[in-house]
This record gives sequence, C-alpha cells and structure tokens, in this order.
Amino acid sequence: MVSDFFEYAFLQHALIAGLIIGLVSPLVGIFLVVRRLSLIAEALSHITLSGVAAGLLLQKNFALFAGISPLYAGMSFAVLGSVFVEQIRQFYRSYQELAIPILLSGGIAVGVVLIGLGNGFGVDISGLLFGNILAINKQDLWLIGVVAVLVICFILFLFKELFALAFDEEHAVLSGIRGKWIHLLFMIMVAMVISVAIRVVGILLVSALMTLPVATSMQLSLSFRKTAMFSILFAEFSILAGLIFAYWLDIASGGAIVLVSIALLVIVISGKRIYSMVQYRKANVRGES
Amino acid sequence: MGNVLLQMEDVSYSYHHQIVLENVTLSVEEGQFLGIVGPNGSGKSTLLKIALGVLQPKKGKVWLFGSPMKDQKQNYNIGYVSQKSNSFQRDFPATVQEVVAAGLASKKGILRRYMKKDYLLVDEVLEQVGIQDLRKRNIGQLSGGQQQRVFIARALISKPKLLILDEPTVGIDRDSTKQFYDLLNYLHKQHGLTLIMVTHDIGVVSSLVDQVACLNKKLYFHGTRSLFVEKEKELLSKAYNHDVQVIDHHH
Repeated sequence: MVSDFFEYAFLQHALIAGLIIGLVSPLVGIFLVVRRLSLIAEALSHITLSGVAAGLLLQKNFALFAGISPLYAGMSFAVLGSVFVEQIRQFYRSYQELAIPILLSGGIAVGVVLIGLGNGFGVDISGLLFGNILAINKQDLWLIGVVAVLVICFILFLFKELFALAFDEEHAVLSGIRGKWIHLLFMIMVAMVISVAIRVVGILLVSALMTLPVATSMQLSLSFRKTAMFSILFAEFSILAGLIFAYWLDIASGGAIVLVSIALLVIVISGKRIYSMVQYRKANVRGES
Repeated sequence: MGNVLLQMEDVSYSYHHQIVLENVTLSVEEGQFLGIVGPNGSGKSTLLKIALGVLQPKKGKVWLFGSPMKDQKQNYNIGYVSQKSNSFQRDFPATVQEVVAAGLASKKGILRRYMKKDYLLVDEVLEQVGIQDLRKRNIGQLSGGQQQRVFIARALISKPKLLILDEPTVGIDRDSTKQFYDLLNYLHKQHGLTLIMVTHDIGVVSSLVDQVACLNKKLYFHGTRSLFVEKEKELLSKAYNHDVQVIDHHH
C-alpha cells in the first residue's frame, strides 16, 4: 500500500487534499456549532450543487467556459448563498434557523432544474453528491490550498472577535465589535471551505466534516482553544483512517471518513460514561469504608 | 459637584407610536451608584439602551463623558452586564479566562492577539470579583452567581468609567444575590466605580445605592436614597399605580 502511494500521483493528491480539508473544516465548523448554525453548512452545500450545475451548463454551452472547473461556479453560488443567510437571519431574529430550509430546498431545486436542462451532463453526479477524492487533480489542489490559506489567516487574525461574537453576540456588539461585517466574512469563508470540501466528501456529507469532530471534542469540556485543536485532531484522524479503509476495503471514501468520525464520537461518549461510572464507584467505595 | 458622566435632557422614545419614555432628564456623576426602579414596561431597559448608545432617542439630547452621544466611538468605556448573561449556551466550551478576556477584544482592536499582559489583567479582575480560583474552569460548570461574577469581570477588564447593569440578579438564588450586591458595593466604595443598575428589588435600592430614579415612562423621582426612602410609599404607588410589596433584604 505504501508503495502504491509513492507510485500514484492521484493517491498523493487525495491525501494532501484530505489533510488540508481536515484542518480547515473543523476550524470554521467550531464557530458554526457554538453559534447553533451547524445546519448552515448543509444549506450552503446544497447551494453549491446548483452552482456546480450552472458551471457545467456554461461549460457545455459556451466555449469560453470550457476550461474552467465548475467548482468555481459552485463556490460563487455558495458565497452568494452565505450572504443571503445573513440577510434572512436578520428577517427572523428569533427563528434564525428558517434561513436553512429556505436555502437548502432552493439550492436543490435550482440544481435539479439545471441538471435537467443539461440532460444530466453525462458527468459523475454521484461524485458530486458523495465526493470523489481520488479524482482530485493538480488544479483542484491549488484551489484547495489557496482557500485554506485564506481561511486560516481569517480565523487566526479574527479569533478573539469571532470568539466574543460566538459566546455573546449582544455583548460583543455593544462593546464595539463590528459583528455584521465579521459574520458576513465568516460566512463567506464557510462557503469557500464547503465548496472545496465537496471534492472530498461530497455535498451530502460535507457538513459532517465541519460538525462531527467539533461535537466529539465538545464532549471533553475543554477550553475553547483546546476544543478547536482537538476538533482538528479528530478530523485529521477520521480522514486518514477513512482513506486507508476506503483504499483497503474498496469502499466509498466519503462514507468511510464520516463513519470513522461517528465512531470517534461514540468512543468518546462511551469513554466518558465509563469514566464517570468508575469515579462514582470509587467515591461510593470510599464512602463505605 | 462631581464630574457628570451621563447626562440626558428631555429624552423621549417610542416604539411604533407607543411612547415608552417621555421627557426624561437625568444625570449621573462620577462615583455615584444610581438605582433605577419601575414596573415592567416602564422603559427602564430602553433608557439603558439609550445610555449605551444602542438606541437613539426620538427627542432630547444625551451626553456621555462630556460629549454628545453620537460622537462616542469607544463603547468599551461603558461596561455592561445584562440579565441575559444567564441564558448563554450552558455547554459552550470556554473557560472563565477565555470569557473574561473576550471583554478586551474590542479595546485591543482588530488583528491583535491576547498577550501575557492581557492574561495578567484577567487575573487581576478575577481577583477583584473574588473568583480567581475558577480561572481554568468551564463557564458552564459554575453556579448562576459565579457566572454573573464572570460577566462583571468581563465588563471590568476594559477598565470602563461606567458600569451598567440590567437586572443582574434575575435567576440567581438569594444567598448569591446578597454576595453579588456586596461585590457591587465593594466596587463602588473601594474602587470608586460609577454604576447604574436597573432592578426590581426595591429593598436593595433603599440600602445599597446612593441615588434613585423611579421611572414609569416619565421620571417620577430622581434624588438621593434618603429622600427616596422618606417618600418611598407615596412615590412607588404613584409610579406603579398600586401599593408595592417591599422586599426586605436585612442589610
């Protein structure tokens, strides 16, 4: 297996792309989760589908777009969608989650119509839906890298503002933090991460990469910083293990990655249970003696 | 006369043509502790929002720290503690230290990271509010009273000239409330902090604060505590339109 890795460029591309996505997905995911917006990732990924479909339609009908990856159109749609999320959130102050079903169904609807118009494009729709990490080429890798650098810089430079807003938006805004702009930029970052992460796990599973590792590390009740670091660790482990399983057992890589991260979550939750049971027993024994 | 920190002149405010504040004139001097009392819907929170610069009055003028409100850019000169601080997400993964440091975020400005001296400042304010030993604990694991101290610390860390509290003891048990008031008293007396507190608790107003404002759309009373205590019954029945049960706190 190791020799295969050095022999085939597509395996190297898959691994590098996977590791980059494993770093940036939980990094933006943690802010989505604590702001109770984890389903936003889901909505934006569905909008990306309509964008990719639009990109394919352009590619098919206009020679000008022939050489351009439909991923760019997907990304533009996701970024536009992310701007709309904030707008719709403003309309429903106390029902902010309504933005999600609106965008989610809208994204799928446009996607289905466009795919129909292009007669299916003869492209790998299942690759879009479930990811196809082995098909990642050099051009994709560059795009993933550029997005990663942007996102990492954004999170590092605005970490304290993002934290203050996530913890207590009212207080943060009152103290003078420009919440609206930071949210908007953040949502754009989320959209970009989603549109590149789709290559790895697909539209239907992309939100799992942003939320599952965070959900797992939140079980450990650590500081925010450590929760973020452990989320990244869990995500990287899931991607590595998932890819190895996928290659070894010849199963779908996106599914394997998500299954590993669910397994991690189950292990951490059960571990916690067992630990507290043991502690309880110990305390009882001490109490009796 | 001391330095006037907050001055409101003839301030009125309305939501959808419903008047909530009418011609309120009020001032707070440096070092004062003003308690604002009044029934539900009397415009207390609206008044605070105007003082915080979140709402613009429909009529009247507001000066903060000697200059007109609209020229204020440095919001961190006012510390704010709301009753809603009690209702953040309990499972939020953050330590006390991280939450308190967030109070510095705006003052430090964008692109700047927390340094060692910022964390020393966190230790300092935690000591001031008496919870330095909880520094590394997760915020969700603390009691309501301890959490409210964390939020006081978060408000104090930017070294505000004025601390505004909106019913800070809602949802906190009786003993913690007593300790919380002791803390406010300590900050006021020992550190000379200027405070404005909206409260339902008439008992605390007649024992803790030194200035009282009694509000129900209009300002019914604004003066010293002793004057308020003297006329308490008459004032409250006027403002509340009925007799009020005074909560006794045995201070």
